[in-house]
Amino acid sequence: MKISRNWLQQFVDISDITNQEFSQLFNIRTAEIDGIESAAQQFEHMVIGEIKSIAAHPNADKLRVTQTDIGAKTVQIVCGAPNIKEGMRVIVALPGSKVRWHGEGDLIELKEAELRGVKSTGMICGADEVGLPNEVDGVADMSKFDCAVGTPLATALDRNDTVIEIDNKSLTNRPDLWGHYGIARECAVIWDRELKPLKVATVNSQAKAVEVKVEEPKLCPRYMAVGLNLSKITNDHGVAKPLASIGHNSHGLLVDLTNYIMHELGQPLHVFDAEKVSGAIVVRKAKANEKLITLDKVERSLQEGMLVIADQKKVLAIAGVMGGLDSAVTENTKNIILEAANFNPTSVRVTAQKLGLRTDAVQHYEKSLDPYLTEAALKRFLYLLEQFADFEIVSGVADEFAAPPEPLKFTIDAERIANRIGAPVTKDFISKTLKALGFELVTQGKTELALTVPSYRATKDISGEADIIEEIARLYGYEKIEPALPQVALTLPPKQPWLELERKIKLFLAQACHLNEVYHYSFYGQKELERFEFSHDHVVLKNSLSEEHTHLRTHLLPGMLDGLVRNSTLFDHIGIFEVGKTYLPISADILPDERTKIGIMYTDSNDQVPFVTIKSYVEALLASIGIAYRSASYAPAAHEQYMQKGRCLIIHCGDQIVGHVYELSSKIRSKYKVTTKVAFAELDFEILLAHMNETARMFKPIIKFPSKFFDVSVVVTKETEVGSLLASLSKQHELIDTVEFLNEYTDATLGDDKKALAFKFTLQASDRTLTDQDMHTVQKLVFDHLSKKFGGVIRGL
Amino acid sequence: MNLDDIQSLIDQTQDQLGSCKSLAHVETLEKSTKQEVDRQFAIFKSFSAEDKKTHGPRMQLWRSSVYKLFDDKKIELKNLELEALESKESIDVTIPSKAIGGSLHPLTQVQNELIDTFHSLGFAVMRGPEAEFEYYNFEALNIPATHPARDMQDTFFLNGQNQVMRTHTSSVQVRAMEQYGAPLRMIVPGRVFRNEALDASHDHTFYQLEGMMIDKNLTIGNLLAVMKLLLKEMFGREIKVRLRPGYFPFVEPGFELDAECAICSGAGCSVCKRSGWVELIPCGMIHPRVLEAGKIDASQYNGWAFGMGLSRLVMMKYKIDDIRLMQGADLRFLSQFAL
Repeated sequence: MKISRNWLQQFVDISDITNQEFSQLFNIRTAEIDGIESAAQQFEHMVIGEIKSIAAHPNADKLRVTQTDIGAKTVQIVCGAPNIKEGMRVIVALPGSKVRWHGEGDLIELKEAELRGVKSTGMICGADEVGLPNEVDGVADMSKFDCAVGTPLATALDRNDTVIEIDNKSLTNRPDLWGHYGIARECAVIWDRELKPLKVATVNSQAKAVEVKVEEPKLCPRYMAVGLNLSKITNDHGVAKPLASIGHNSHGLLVDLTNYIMHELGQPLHVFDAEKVSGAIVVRKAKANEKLITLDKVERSLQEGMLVIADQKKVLAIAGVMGGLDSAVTENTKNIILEAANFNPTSVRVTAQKLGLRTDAVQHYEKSLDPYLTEAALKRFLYLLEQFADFEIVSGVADEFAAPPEPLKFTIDAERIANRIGAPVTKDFISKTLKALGFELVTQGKTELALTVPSYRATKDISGEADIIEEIARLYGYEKIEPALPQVALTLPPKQPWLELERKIKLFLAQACHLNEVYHYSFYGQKELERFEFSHDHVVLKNSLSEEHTHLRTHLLPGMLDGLVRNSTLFDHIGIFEVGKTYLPISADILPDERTKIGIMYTDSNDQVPFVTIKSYVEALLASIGIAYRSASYAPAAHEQYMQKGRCLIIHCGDQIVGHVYELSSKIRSKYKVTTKVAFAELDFEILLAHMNETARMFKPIIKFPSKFFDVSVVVTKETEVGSLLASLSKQHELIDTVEFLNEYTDATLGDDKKALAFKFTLQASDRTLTDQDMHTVQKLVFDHLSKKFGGVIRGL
Repeated sequence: MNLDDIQSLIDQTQDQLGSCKSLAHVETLEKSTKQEVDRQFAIFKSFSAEDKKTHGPRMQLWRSSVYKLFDDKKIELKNLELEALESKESIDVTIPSKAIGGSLHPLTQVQNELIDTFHSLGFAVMRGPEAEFEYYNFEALNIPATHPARDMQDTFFLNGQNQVMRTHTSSVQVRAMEQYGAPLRMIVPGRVFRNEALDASHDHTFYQLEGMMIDKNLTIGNLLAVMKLLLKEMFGREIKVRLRPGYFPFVEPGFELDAECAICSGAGCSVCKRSGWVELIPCGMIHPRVLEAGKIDASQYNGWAFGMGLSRLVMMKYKIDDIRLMQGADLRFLSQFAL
């Protein structure tokens, strides 16, 4: 929002405060200042010039070479605008001035330049290039300004103002600050100055009031209107200049006045051409298929339920958004109806959104305006109108105000407020500050204050003690509050096992497995659904930003594979992991099943069986967490065509599936154009968390008696799994301490469907030294078991 | 037996060994010398008992001296042999080693540092759902359905009923209150989502760290002190800060905490838009309505909360110029964050 310092000065004398001081203090007391522009700086080195002659540019078709009189001398300026004419008065920006090329981008300081080989001293500017509203394409025609050639532009425009740009977002909750008067009130408190009262007209009319019917008092809490007959209007009036300084063009006295008051008090007003209004004004909801051509000459299809201002025949305006073209005032309008109304902020905002029409009025109304402001605005309009026009009130003031809100009152405790701030704020300071802000106060007892909130602060931002703490603290000065660490009882925070586990896993994978941690988006899109042939349900974004991000991921695989592909041209060896959420829909009324998953992916151009490496990562990780798990070969289901058959492992924990370890199928790799073998593991963090530390780590005493070893080589069918052999062999005798798989061997002599497996057995008793007889007993048992249970043939027997 | 012979045998052996260049030569010599020693001892056996007693110790000493000469020489030659062998094994030790690799994402690293700081102050570390009910993301935080923040352009809405991708980690505030009640100290690091177009400094997915403390009689000064402590831990030095008004519906009063610009030390530069300050941590005193939503008696307890942009902090810390590097797996980026 733009605030003119000259305008502000009418209400509060802060002429001694420099722009820098203003910015610095207003920032920390009230709201963020985005920037300060003073006309003197903005228009420095810019003058009114007159084009004396125009010649073709020798080297460019679109450029022309002018000789332009700038008073003290004539300079040569190259110009590309098609609308220049000899004798035209123009804005000349001389070297040293700052302009915005074509009204866009950053300000650029002009220097003497050569344009296609022709010297150019400065630039003939379009209005937007010097920060003025653009009225024509091309350069601005300044002929209408009655001043000598060479006059500084600031003088020609009569601009000596400074404009402060306040960040709109920081005023979201302060409807009272959406105009100069509110800002002036704030400044008066900040700098302890007197706030001058607003001059308004006294209305004494016996005329019959404008006929108004409010059918929707909830959406239109208050509607005021007055009918005027105008007899003389001056369009060369005093409000155009302040409006211009905050970037508004003049549109004639009536419209200018409504704009002026909106930027002064924050209350939007509207004027109707009374002759275009048939009968009573009705504030109602739009009916089906109603249409209105708005002021911007666009036909708008209204939706049922949008609040409109209508007469007996037609819609006149979209309430709080924009007026209709037909009932708008023109130069010739003599009879007007002035509207000062209060509308429901949500209704206005939603209507504006649906229509895609965000006007200044919408911006004000959506902040929750004070319903008592309509009266001040209407009277202020009449007061200002008296200065520039002759008029008569032909229809008296209508005021539909179904339910005037009760004043908001509550009690605060000065001591408690000081305590909550943590600063020695006195009751006197609190009283003085609140009074200056417009609160009414009655002292009760020693520390209590009963207060009445001014109506302009009661619609949205002030509702209780916390809000008063803010008012007092900020105006006391946040910078005066001493930091003090909280003094509280010493306690241990509740244990968070997930945190411990997550950190352990990440550190293990990064430091023990030397993998790189990656993050991927929680979303993927149609491309992934198709490539992975996912047929299960997904949680879907209702309003996605792009086709790439429409579905919530149920697997980490698609994102990580994308990541791998992105690196595959640069690296031969890629090892990455991700710990991230996946989201499975359950039903529409409960939250998705959100599970953290651990993804591990590995490829190496020299590794034809990356499965082996990734399995070792997974097993080492599970061991480090202290999880008892079982694994088995896994036959992928039809929908898991991205797994390579014969290279999949499933991991169980209790009766739950922890995850899978596998290589990606050629099918999915070809879709991603990955030529190397890729192994992937996805584990369910939540299941690991549930089983974490289940097997308590206990020291087993080291046995002093020597152990005995023997190796076995057995020929079995190719399908026989080492895993099942190991599981079954270790249980054959109590003396078997460990069974270690040594190697696998295939050979034509064994037969195509056979393989030889070698194992090393370690035997151990905790209470004695083993005898040869012990070993023979176990060996015999093992050999028998291998041959009977697995059809194995022991080699070398 | 002539003892002088014996001494001369030692001298002779020493001389002979001095010119020995190979182990085989030493061994041959050793054999013949030992035979000579054995011969002398055979003579010694024939000595009278008295002579044996007189010369016995000298004989023993003589024998061990001779043997030692051979042992020493063999060790010397063995060492020479090993040295010669090792000299052939010399390698170029300046060849670069193969990178071992392994890294943690910068967001994880910074998050861990912050968790450690807060944990040491007795703050619990919590997590909450990323796909969240509108209630916890909005209503419970005093953001009613009519609030402009609820507009489609800011929030990803889900096909589930009244569900959104959480727009801030503040969504865990009321969940934490429900679970633990007051007093409470907690932080929530995590992923948040906004329906925003991507560019170098905006992403629809980014990270925040929420912090909240609820107790009796907490002050604005308390919040300020903890924030200063946090920044000191993070940057390793005292950071000048200021509070100014900021509006967030779930805090009252609400603040923007600015830190003195690190680039210009407060003098004003292009990074801080000439203000000397950089907006860093939105924070405030928890709104009583939020405490009430969490079933905490707002007349007894109060609190403060902050929500820090972790992604931005990481970018500041490592001078990362594009937020989009955070997502995706660019190893040229990630491998710079080895542990």
